[in-house]
Amino acid sequence: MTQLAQDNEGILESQAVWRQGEECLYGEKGKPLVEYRGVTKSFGDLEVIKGIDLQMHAGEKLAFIGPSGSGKTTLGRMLMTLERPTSGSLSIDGVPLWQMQDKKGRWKPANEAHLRAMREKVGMVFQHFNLFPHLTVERNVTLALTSVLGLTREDAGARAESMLEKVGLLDKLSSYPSQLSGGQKQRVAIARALVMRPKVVVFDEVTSALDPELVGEVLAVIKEIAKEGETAMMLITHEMDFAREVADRVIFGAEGLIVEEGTPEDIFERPQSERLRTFLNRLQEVRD
Amino acid sequence: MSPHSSCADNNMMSTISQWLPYLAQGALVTVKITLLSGVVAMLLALISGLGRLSALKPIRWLAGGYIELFRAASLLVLLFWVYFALPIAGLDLSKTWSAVLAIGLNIGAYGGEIVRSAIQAIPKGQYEASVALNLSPLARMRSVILPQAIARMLPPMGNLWIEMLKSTSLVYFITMADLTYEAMILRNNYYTDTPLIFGLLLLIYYVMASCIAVPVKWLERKLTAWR
Amino acid sequence: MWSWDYAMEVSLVLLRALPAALLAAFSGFIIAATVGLAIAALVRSRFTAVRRIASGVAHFIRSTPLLVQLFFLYYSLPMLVPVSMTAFWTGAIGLGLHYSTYMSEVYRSGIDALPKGQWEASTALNLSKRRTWLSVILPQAIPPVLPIMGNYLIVIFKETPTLSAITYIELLLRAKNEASISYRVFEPYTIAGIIFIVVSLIMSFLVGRLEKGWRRRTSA
Repeated sequence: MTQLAQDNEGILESQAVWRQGEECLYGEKGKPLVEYRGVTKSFGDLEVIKGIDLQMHAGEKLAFIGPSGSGKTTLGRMLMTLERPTSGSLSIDGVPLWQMQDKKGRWKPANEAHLRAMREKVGMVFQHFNLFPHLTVERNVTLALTSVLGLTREDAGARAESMLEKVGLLDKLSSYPSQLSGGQKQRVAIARALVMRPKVVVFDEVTSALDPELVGEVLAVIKEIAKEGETAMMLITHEMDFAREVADRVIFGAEGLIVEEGTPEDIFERPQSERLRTFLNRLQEVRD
Repeated sequence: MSPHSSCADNNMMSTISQWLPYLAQGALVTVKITLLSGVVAMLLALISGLGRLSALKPIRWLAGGYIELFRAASLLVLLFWVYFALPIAGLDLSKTWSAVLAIGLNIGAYGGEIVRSAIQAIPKGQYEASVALNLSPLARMRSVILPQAIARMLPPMGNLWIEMLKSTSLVYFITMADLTYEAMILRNNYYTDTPLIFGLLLLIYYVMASCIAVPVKWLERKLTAWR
Repeated sequence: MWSWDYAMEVSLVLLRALPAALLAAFSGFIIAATVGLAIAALVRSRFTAVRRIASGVAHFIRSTPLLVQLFFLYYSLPMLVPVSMTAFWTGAIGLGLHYSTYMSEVYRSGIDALPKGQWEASTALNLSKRRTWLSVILPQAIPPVLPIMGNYLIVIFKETPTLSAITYIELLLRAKNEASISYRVFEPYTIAGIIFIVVSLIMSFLVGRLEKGWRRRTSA
């Protein structure tokens, strides 16, 4: 059997299990916006996600912390459809992301059309910005508005301008990415993701590739947007102070599993597990 | 399968088996020219590639001149020139040697560029380390630079050999009885089978090209074991 | 052995055949560039079968001689399907198909040189496949490989004498005809060879200029 067929079998099986548990009640917050159920992911023989259950609600700011290699980035990339789960199920607004029903109601792997419909709800900001170097700042931000949402150039331009104003780069409209600093590039990338008004945005270690003096401006922009509240954020980060300040909930993961989760106070003031305590202590040592 | 079509198949098979001796004869000529041109081309490639990196200006200039001139030339015109025009200038070569000379000169120029760029791609540190070990210039080249450069040359050289095999079909123009020429003669006798003959001809060339690609892959694995 | 008068005379005759050779080369080049792009896209298809077939066919075409392909197109295609093409079109299409397999590799090198993040950002922005290719990938992948494509134009030009086998009158066939009329072979073939060398060198000089200009613009 091919690898792909095996993958499909894995996620289809989990789909059947999920349907059986459909009636189970969600908590007082109601139906989650994003839900991971028993999600695993392997690259060849290496299992990077070993079974994750997780719910994220509309507007929630969720911070993911943990040592590198803990699979945090893979979790975000699966939500953005950049990686396919090996098994388990991932849904947005109650609709499975990686499976779809055919006309007879049978479950089958999601096709491109299904993925495209689902991607309207998700956005992503990358560690290495991934701006399009051959397009101006304005065109970077308007490209998807015109070609995906079908806005006119004028409407898209207006929306891009107000978004770029929010990230403080209105004066860079006609610059090319190569003319910007790293911090400015990342702010453009944030504008590019948010201008599509997704329900959830994955921020994948967005300050890791920046010079230390440029980190502040990017975090400030994210904090500002977080205050507005509408967009749910999955913040995969190494910046503990930032996670503490912005997140509603913090998740500590290690080696492909969730080790501990709770409010920022719980996690940073009253860590329960040995692993989390070691992790936080080591960070403290580095800082001292 | 209906009896009729299997009968047609049998007919086809027996026709093809009638052609095979001629095609095999032609294939032998094609292989011979490929191998002889290959020897000439590889020698010229090594000499001109190294020559282009020589410390002596006249040698650099000569090697560069050869590479540029023969890469700019059209192989088929060169073949005509060697076979038809050179005898007027007093050099009367047989068909085989005309073909070998023209193809060897042409492919050798491309090979020279491969040799040069493979050697230039070796990190400078390798050269400096071999100087630091006080190796002689010859030992530097033979023990340090060339073994690494050959690993880099292999994939493009393999492709060049396939180009060479393909270019031997041009000897058809000087009426050498190679594979293509034999097929054209068969076509005269079995005119209605033209598509089958050319299809078979393409297939034979494809198999021959694969016969070049396979040992090159093997050699590549063997020579790059240290990677 | 060498007559300057005859050389001058035959030069003029051969130069008059140059436009035919250049026309075949340019037509072949345009076909190669177009079909090559299609192959480059097909070998990146989502469907395994499409990928396999596209790369298999390209590999077959690249492994077999242009001359035999021309014979196949010119002599057997009309026996298989009800089309017959002129020598010019057979030549242009033959050159185009043959070199499209090389051109697809050139495109591939340009596409492979792009960071994976460009594809991922396109997915994250929910761009369609078509839009991703047209607005993100190709505008970045093609300009750096234009000089390599230019070199293939030169290679194609040098292959035009092969079209004489299917009776397309270009430089070599004209030289051959001249030789058969005058019974002098040295001048026509020598001059044909020189014309190819000179035109190739001029073309590669122009390609070099293009490359330098491109480098200057990107480094600025």
